[in-house]
Amino acid sequence: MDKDIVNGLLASFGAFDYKAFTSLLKQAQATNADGTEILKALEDAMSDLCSRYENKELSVAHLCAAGGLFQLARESLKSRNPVKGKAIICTMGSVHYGGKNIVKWLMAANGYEVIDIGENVAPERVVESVAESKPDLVCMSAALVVCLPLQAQAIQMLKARNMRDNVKVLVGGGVTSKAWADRIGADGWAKNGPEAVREADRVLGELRGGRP
Amino acid sequence: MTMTGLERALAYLSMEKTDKIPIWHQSSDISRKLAGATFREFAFDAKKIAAGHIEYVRKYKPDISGVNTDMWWMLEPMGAQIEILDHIIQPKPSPNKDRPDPEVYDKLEYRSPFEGPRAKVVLEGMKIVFDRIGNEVLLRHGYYGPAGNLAVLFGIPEVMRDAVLFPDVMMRAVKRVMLPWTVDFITGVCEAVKPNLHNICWAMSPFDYDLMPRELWDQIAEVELEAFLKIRDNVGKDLPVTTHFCGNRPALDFAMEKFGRYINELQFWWPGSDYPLETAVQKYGDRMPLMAGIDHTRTMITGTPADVDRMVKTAIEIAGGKCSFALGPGCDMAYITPDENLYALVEARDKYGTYPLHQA
Repeated sequence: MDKDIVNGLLASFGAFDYKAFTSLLKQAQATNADGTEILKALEDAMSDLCSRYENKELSVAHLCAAGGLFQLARESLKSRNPVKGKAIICTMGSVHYGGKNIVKWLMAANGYEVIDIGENVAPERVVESVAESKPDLVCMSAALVVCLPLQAQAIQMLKARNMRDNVKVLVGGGVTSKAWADRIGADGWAKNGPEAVREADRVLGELRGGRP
Repeated sequence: MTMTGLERALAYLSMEKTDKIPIWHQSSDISRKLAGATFREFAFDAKKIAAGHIEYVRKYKPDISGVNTDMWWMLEPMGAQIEILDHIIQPKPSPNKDRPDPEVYDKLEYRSPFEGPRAKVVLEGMKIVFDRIGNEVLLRHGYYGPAGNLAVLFGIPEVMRDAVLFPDVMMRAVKRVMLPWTVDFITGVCEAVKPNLHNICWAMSPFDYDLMPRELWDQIAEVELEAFLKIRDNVGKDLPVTTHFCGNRPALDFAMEKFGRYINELQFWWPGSDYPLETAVQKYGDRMPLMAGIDHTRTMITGTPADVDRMVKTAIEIAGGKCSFALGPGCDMAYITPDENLYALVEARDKYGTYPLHQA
């Protein structure tokens, strides 16, 4: 891909410049160039933004903005980057998706193939998706306290269908806690997007016998 | 002499002596349950809305409470798409959820908040409650400012994202449409609940390090202040104005700098947010009533009455007697909050928060 386009995309991504980023993305698409290099660079840029968020230099709004731009790039460009692991992700029982989408974008930027099965998801749908997609990880968000039991039910149903040993379960969402995750038998819990990626790497390593 | 909830709340807001530390909490969800209705029934029935909220106050005995069904009824005329199920009222996914689109902001047009079919029902429900118990407890409605209302209309994650990607376009819509809309909405609700209008509660949710980007706060504050001053002109300059910070990282210092002259209370989520109650007491307790101390997301839901007792005791140890202090959560009480924990709040307040304060 043209160096000027790559540099321009990176610069506009870092500056959250929507107009310039989308214009350069159109140029990149027109050339039908391989997007591996720029997507890898954008993944690294997303990691930098996460560090700045964790240092409190940036807000969740910036992560939402970066995720939106990153998603546009992933839809527009082809990549040959290797896939680290496969995850399904969803929000249980309500239509909230802000936090779920941030985790989705950050995991995608960290080499995961992420299958988003949406919002308002019931435990049965989680089990069906695990059977269909055979992911390494299931990431379930709950934004409302009334939806917490759905996370527990999904884990119980995975166990009942003998699917629990082949998949690691992460839970998150504003109303969850480490204590809640432990109580329902989840493998990991995270309070924000960057932590979710670290937890995903950790439990993936466990799933693969210590080899992340 | 024992004060009524209203007397206690108004004295607290004036930083005057009260008999006990006042308590604020409310819940559309629990009020709906108390009315014996699903949300499909509750949202369209003024009498059920009123009955549920009156029963809530009678049963759990807060001194300060409120009346509502959800955050969207007033925005339906503006195009908010809502799904009303038996157990929840929630927005449908925003059309620009996955793809930023600056054009939606320029296409936004003003529509009166009271044009929708549910507006009449909710206002009637509010009016009944304010008429029936508005002289016993302080009833307050919480309002977002223009930027917050835009976020509720278009989707909070979308507006957070777009506030970074095309802030000028977003702020143009805030000023052009949501500013007059907010003034009309708040003025209209205040008019509807007179004569028992004692308070306006201003939700300062954008001023949180996790929500709107910091670089936009000054612009947002300018618009909020313009809306606020117009509303104050409309409804009465002496009306106490309380605040509401529901986020994890509230910018209380910014709010005090920008709005300190105009507000009568700082209310925020503690324990829960990262702003220590001790700091708020130390920095602002000499000139501002403070409300905090109830964790509605953890202790109130998964804790025991003994945990609630400890939570109240801790808050009162920090703030009681050091400032004009009230107990309050960061948001509505959740549907699954056990009754015994709600009762324990009042019991613990009576035990630790009756003046003169004695720590048991």
